[in-house]
Amino acid sequence: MAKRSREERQRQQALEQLPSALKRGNAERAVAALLRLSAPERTRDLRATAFLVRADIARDFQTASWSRLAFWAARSEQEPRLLTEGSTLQEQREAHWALLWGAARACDWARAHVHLSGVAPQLPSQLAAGLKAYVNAHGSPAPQALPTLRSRPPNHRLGYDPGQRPRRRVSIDTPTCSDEVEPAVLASRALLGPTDFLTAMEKWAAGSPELAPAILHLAARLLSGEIYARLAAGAPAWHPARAVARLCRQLGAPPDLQAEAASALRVAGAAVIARGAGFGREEAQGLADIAGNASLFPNLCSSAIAVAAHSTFTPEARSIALDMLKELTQRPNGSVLLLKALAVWSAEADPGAAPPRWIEAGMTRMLGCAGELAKCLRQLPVPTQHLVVEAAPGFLQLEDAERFLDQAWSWAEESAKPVLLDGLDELLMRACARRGGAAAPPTALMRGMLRELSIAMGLNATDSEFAEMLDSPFGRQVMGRMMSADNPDGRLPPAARAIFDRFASRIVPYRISYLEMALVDSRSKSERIRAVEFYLGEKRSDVLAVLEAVRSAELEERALASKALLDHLLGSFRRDRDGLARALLEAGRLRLRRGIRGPLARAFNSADAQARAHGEADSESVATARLEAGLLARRSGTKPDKRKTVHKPLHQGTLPLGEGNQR
Amino acid sequence: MPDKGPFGVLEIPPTLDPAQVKRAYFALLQRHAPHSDPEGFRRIRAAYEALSAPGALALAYATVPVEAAEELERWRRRWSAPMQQALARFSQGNASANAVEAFVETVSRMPLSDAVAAFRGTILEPKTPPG
Repeated sequence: MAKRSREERQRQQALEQLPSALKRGNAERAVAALLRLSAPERTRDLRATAFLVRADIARDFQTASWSRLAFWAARSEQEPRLLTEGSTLQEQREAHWALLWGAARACDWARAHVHLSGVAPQLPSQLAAGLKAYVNAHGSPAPQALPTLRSRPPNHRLGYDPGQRPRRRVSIDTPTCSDEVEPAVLASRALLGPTDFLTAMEKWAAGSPELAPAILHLAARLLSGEIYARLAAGAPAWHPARAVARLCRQLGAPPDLQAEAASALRVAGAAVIARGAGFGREEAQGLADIAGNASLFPNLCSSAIAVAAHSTFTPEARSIALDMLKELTQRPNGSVLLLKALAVWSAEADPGAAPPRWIEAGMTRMLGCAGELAKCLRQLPVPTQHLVVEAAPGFLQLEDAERFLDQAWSWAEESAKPVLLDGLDELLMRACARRGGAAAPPTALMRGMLRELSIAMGLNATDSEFAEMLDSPFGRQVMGRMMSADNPDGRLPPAARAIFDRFASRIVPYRISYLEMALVDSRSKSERIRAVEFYLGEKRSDVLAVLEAVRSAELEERALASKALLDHLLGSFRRDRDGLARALLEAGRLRLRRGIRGPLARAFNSADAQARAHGEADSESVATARLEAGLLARRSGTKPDKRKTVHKPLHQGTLPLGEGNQR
Repeated sequence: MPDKGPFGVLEIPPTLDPAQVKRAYFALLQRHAPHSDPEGFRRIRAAYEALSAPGALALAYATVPVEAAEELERWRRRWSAPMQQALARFSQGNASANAVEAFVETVSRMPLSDAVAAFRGTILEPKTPPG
């Protein structure tokens, strides 16, 4: 059996579907089937189909289903008899009337014209003329061509309320050529609020890229007025400032918008200065937009960088801040923001974590450029300087951290040096731990622990208070023990030793622990004497200052330093009876252990004997010191000092106020 | 006395040019020499130092308060009239569009018989353009 052709199959299908659709009252399906048949074959079911179609048209007109009516207008063009078959003239005109509006509202003016011709003879002449003008002008006739309706008959069936006129609105079409841009943008600004205006302008710009520069340029100028208006009214101007920045940025920062960008930047700058607390996410995003845009203007770049450098952020805004800083570091002279980024990042970083690669790489580049670090540090506010100096030794790669401290030393004023020395401790700790793998930097670790403790206890301690705790004698003891965990003999491993040697000439005077480190590896007595004299500096001729240094060494359990300092005191002041007398009395007042006071008493006795031999007069302190020395001598006869000659290695001494310190 | 900021004290507009700051400072020194006007000298010296620190000039430039009232007045002089003119032009164009829209909205929702009844006897009135 030969295969049936495609047309034949479709015809058969149509013949089957048409009765079914008519039976179900489905006009659309019936017409689809009918139109697949040849003209003679349509005759049989045409009347029934036409009846259904006209009923659908009437229903769609009642419900104002204009798209459905446009559909029927197209179908009736394919089979005009759908409107005429079995209908009265009045029914035909009503169908044409409905299809006229369906086609017109779909802007199908050719079909609208056809259906207007079908209904026009019945219409009043004025209405017919008005509709003709409307269709011929493709929906935009002169208003004079339309008839005025004096009274409107109510028609509740259609939902038409004569008292309700269509809402009048001013709509501004998207400009299609450059001449239309200015009036359209100006009128939009007059009509819309700043947010809607910005949205509309960006939409227009996206829709016509060739007109985008003109649209956005004018929009930026107009929006700057909103900045001034809000500032003049004492209201916050973040939003318009951010909008202006966005528009400028989309335009590639044209020079003639520099004034607008500067105004936006000043809004952010004022907020930076006025805000005590850090910026949250919303404000940080605004700052990022504004500063990022301003940095594209050569004349504003340095100011944008300065504003970013002086901003502070809440932890939630950290990622936004880092994105902004990453962008701004690419600008000329933006490297100062690498330091800011390090400070922002490290504020919430876990001890021992590595900073983002771009910060590490940027820092390496900065440290490779002589004087750059000091220059950048000077441009930061003091709290940020301290944050950076605290963070860098703990988080940068070891070599970079060492170079950082080396270069930062030349920048640091005396007030910043304690922070640098903390950094050096961390660096030494990391160098010590390098043998067996990474270790958390002790200062960061300790600070984290103190922070957790203070939160748990409901205290609101500040960073400077944490720093004070760590700098206390007990804090230093804990730090010292942590550092000595890997070095029970007190000797630094070679890598750490190399670092220490590099810094020794600068740091030894600042901390007793560094004097101890210098003494541990000293090879001769002269080296030890030099180290002690370097530590004491100009204070070495002041007996009480030297004794105070001995006390510091005792408190921090620096046995070698304690002994070396005591030796210095005994040697330098061996002929100074008054000095030794004062030192002996002060040592008693400070409750230094007998291992200190005993040698002092003996030295005093010796000096006293020589002075007496020369017939020198006694002062009041000498007389009191004799009593003190006598008491010590009697006690040492019954209870010898076990620590008299034993100097334990680094960090293995007793607690500072142990038994030996009691009178 | 309101805080004039360092640029105000040195009697110069906000600038990023260190040389201009320096020139202004030395010019003011003639009027506020340390021996004749120590208070004035301290003030201009403090302003000069505040602008001379590293990065300070850029920050001061970015944080100087916007002269909002003056700028707003300038902006209004430049843009208010053009905006109103553009709006009036669009309103006029929209009035025509609104008239057509009103006609279509009204008539298209009337059944044919209602439309015939409503417009029987109406006359075409010449209209003047709105606005």
